[in-house]
Amino acid sequence: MDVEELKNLKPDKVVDARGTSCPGPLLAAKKAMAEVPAGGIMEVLSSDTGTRRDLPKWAKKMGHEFLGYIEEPGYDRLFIKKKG
Amino acid sequence: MSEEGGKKALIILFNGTVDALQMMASLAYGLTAMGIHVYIFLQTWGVWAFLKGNPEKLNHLDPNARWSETYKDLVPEIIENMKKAGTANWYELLQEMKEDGMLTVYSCSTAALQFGVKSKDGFDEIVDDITGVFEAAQLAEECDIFYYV
Repeated sequence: MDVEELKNLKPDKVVDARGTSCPGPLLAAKKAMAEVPAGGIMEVLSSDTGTRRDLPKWAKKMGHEFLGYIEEPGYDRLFIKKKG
Repeated sequence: MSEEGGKKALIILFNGTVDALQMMASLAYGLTAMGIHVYIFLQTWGVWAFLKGNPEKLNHLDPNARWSETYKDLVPEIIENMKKAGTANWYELLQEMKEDGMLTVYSCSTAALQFGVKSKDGFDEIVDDITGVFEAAQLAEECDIFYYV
């Protein structure tokens, strides 16, 4: 998805993991995913640089779909679609 | 050469002293000579060694560089023998592997933060990217050979 498409998404769950370093964002995403309905969207806010590479790989391994990320000043907004 | 479909090795590099870097690079070079793609995952002092400007401070022939403290008294002898043997510098070995497309270097994001580094710009050009523990674990799972230095 491109940035404009990502901006138009309506996440079912937003997880704010800003201010935590790896593996904080991963732990937060893993925990919060339980509250996302099948096929739903989770948005993860992370200020950890490694999350850009790490979260897509975790999502793929778990069978979810990583939709992309939006770069904001000082943090990223990352979007994952939970497997159906 | 490409790593696609071939064997892979992972080196977790925690140490950042010249002696460790020198032997790590030798090990890695041997692996790439066998056609094995090497991934290096940097942690803590390994991260420090690859911050911008730091490889130059870790010359293998410099007795005043950071060597393992326990064996500091042996460093002059080691350096002299390396000079005689024409031992290649650890960083030059890595550069050669990189040019051959056989080396990928990632830094642990949390370890990078310990040095106040938040982006790849803070690293030497040989470092490919900053990543997290999941990718490191996945690399360990996928790699055929694993070293911890």
